[in-house]
Amino acid sequence: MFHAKVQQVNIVTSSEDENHEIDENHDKLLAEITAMGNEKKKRKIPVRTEPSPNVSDFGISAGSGKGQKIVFQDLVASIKKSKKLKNIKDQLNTVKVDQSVVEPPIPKPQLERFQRTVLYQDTSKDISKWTDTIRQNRKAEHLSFPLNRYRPTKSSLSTDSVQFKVSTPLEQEIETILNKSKKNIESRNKELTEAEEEALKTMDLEEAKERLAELRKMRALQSHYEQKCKRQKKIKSKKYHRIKKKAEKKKLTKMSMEELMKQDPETIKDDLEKEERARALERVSLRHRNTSKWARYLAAKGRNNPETRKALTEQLKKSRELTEKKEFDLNTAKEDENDRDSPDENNVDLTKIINPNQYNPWLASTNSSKQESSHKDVNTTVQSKQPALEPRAIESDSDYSSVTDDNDDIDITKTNPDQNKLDAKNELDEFAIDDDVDNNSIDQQDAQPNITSAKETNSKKSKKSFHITEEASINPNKFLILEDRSKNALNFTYDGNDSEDSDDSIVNNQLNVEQAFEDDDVIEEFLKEKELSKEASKPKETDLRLPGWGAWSGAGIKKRKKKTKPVPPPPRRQDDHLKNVIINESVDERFTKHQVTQLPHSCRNYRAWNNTMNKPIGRHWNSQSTVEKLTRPRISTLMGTIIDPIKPPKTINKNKKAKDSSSSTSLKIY
Amino acid sequence: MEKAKIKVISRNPADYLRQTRHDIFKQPRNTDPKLHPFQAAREYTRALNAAKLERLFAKPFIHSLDGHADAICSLAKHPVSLSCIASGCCDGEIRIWNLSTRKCLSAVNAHRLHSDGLSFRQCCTEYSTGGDDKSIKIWSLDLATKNSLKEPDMTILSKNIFNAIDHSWKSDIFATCGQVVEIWDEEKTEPIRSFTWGIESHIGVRFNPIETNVLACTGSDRSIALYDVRASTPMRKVILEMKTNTVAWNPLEAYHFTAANEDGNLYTFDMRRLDSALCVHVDHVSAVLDVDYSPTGQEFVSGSFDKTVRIFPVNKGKSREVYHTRRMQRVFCVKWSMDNNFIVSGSDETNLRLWKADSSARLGALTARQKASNNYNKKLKKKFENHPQVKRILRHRHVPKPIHRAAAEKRVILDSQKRKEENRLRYTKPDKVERVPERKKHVVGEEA
Repeated sequence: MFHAKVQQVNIVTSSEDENHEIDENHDKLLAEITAMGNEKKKRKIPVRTEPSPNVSDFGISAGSGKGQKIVFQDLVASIKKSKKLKNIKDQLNTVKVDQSVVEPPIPKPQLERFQRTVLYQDTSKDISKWTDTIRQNRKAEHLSFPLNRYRPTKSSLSTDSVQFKVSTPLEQEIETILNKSKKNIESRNKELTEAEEEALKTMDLEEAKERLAELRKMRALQSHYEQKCKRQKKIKSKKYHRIKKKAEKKKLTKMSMEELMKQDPETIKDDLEKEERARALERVSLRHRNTSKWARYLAAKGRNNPETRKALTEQLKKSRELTEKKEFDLNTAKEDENDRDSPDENNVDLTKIINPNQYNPWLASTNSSKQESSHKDVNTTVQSKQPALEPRAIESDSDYSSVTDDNDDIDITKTNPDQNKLDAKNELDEFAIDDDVDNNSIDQQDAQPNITSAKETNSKKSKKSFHITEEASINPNKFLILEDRSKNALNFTYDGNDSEDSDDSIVNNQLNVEQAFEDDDVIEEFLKEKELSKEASKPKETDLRLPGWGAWSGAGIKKRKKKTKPVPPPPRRQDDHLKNVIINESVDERFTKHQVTQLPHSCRNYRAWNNTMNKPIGRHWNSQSTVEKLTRPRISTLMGTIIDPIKPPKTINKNKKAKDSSSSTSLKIY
Repeated sequence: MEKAKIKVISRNPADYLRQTRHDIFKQPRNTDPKLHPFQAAREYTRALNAAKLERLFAKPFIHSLDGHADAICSLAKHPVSLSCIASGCCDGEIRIWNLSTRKCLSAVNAHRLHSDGLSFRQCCTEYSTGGDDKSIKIWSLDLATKNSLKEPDMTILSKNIFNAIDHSWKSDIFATCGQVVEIWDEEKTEPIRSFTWGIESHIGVRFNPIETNVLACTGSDRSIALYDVRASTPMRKVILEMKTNTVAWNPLEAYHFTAANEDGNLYTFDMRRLDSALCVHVDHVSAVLDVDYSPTGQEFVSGSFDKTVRIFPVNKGKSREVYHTRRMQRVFCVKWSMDNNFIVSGSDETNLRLWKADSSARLGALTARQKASNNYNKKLKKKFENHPQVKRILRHRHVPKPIHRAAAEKRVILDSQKRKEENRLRYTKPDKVERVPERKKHVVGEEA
């Protein structure tokens, strides 16, 4: 319907146009007819019949020449009112026409340029992520290629325990047994073993909590202790271990045996057993009886040396300590224990094992003899401990003093060795004094002439100086250094008439030197030399004549004047005002060709340059490790290994992974 | 009485045991500086000796491999095997060589005309060749049997000739260049992408080894153009004064590449700032035809029309080393081996040549002591490199007379130009002319 209406409109407009055209044609025709009568032919003016801009393709004129445009609404308004068309009219009214016009497309070359620019910017930005890595690599002191070399991880207990795979039947068996057990902690994250968990489940809440706390504490303590032990075990220092052992021993000895027995019988048993074993070993091997090569050597060579003697006695002392019979009566302890507890089989066994000599018939006599000897022996120590000394040992042990608890013996023990010592000392001192005396006497003998000679020289000096002062006929120009000269003059002007000094060889020598250089005038020579060097350094006249020119000879030849360049005045010398010095200002080419004339570009300042030059890198001036560090090349490669281009650093991937894993773990937790 | 203390020297004899029978006896060393006087003078002498010895032992040429019947125009390194290298000849022949045995493993007549392009695929079982006969051929290579097939696995015929071919470092794609720059997939016979940017001829193409999607291509319009495989358009173009033959990307620094130029210079560029070169490497006296980076990214090697191979440090304007032999003609292609130790050059007179990258280095395994001595000597040379005598000895290279003359002539020309410019600067008002740095002088412009 709408279409029909539009067509109608079209038809209307077209009919109007047609009318207009007919009128035009009619006028034309009339004009032609009137012109036919005229003989004069007028020039034909063609009429332009271009389609006007006002006419649209659809034959709708764009208004009546006043710039009016047909608006869509007008067209809609022109639809006649009818019920049938109302619906369509409403629909058309709702349509809102967008007046804005789409921009014409950018020309292709320009568009491509934009695309390229954006692409380039993006890629540049993306590739700039390498800046840090590149900077780092450029600055790096050492680069070892391939950069991300595969290095197998070091195996440790923790990794091995995870990666361990059962292979042999024995291992399989162990594995099955372990798997059955409820007491192993399966993973690190788990805090409790299966058995413990079960136990906790059976308890009520409060108790379980308490128990759990206790367990935790124990675990922590245990792990701390393990760590500590591990750390201590790693210490390699012998000294540390020696001190540690000593401290432990001290701790043991501090407590009396009985106390210890009460506290910790097991360890005491072990200790006693150990000692027993050590004693047996010592008795068999005689290791500390001065039988070793070292001891024999010392005994042979350094018998008189108190140091060696001391060392030997020390060893003997150790041997004595080791072979000493421990007189700890376990029976009494046992009795005490028996009083308290029921009789223990272990203890009985122990006494038998540890102290089999208890019932040894051989021991009884020694015991009694020891008791007797204890009064005689000076060196008896603690009442309970009876050293089984051998006569040889006692002999050698004359100056060994031990601290005793026995009041009676104190005096003796203190006095005797001290006296011995004193004697020895006195002897030594005497010898030393003798020595000293000898020395002194020798010294004195030696010194006597020395002193005299010194005196003489002094007197000489005074004489000579006096002598000099007496001399008046000295050229004042030749005085350079007054004080020094007086000293020097001593040697030069000495004459050896004195009978006293005739046997002194040094003076003789000096004399000879003096005589040899009698005629030399050093100062004069020096001055001459300086004069010469000054002459040499002066700029020379240059002869400008051609070589050979004017050198002819013959009668009536006049000698021509020399043509010379004017000589510039000699430059000032550094030693002009210094009387006693010649400073050579000429440059030696032999040195200059090895010297750096300009500070290199890479060096910031003179000091930095000097530092690098003065810092040696060779092994004669540095330790091995320093040399290795200093001479390590910047680039090192592995032989026969392909070096791939650098790959993006792992940190990026790692971060990504970490993120993923964290999310997964969080899921597990909740 | 004071007791005398005796200190005894005690040493573990095991520390002084010799490793072998021929070893010298180790001596305990006293570090007292009084015993080692004249430190500076002694080290200087050692440095001087080290420099002399370096020159004495500088014998870089190892071997020449002959077999081709025409000039060698392309070389390709095997990505996995150090000893394997492929060479393409101007008569279209391809040869696979074993460098350690110095033998030709196989020879194939691949193309009717030049086999300009030659590249190994990263998975190393195949290599591709592109030639002037408008075809790409993909060959499989089996190193175990040491034989490659006589027939190609695949042949792709095209409308255009191919001047160069290069495989991506990561994926299975490769790029060719001729009239257009094309990106190919190994599986497909049609290019997956084709770039044109107003040039009728491209000369060389190289993929970036780190950012594997980026590639650079040189054109006959004196340009170096950058492309991204993922994008449909090219990226950027820089135009130099003269034509660039090839580029090489730094394998350690993602955005740095070096261009081998016809004017005898090499230009190192930062991909992000193309308006000026980072460094101009001058020493060749004629066009530079090929360039390849060392895998450590510290140096690169260049082959030139002046019949020499030169090694440049990345950040130095002057070459460190120059290699030449009497028989070697124009060097068309050079490659630096993947283990950083060798250089291979292919030249006009049909021969491949194997060189040492460090001319005075000893081949083979070194003992710890030799290594230590080498390191010490190197450090000494570095320390005293500014001393005139050491510098003179280390710098001096004997070059053939024509090159020497050409270099002198070039120097005269450059000096004259420099003098002229200096004069111009001196006698014009300061704001009217400005000094153009050498790095910018050769860059004509940038095109987006």
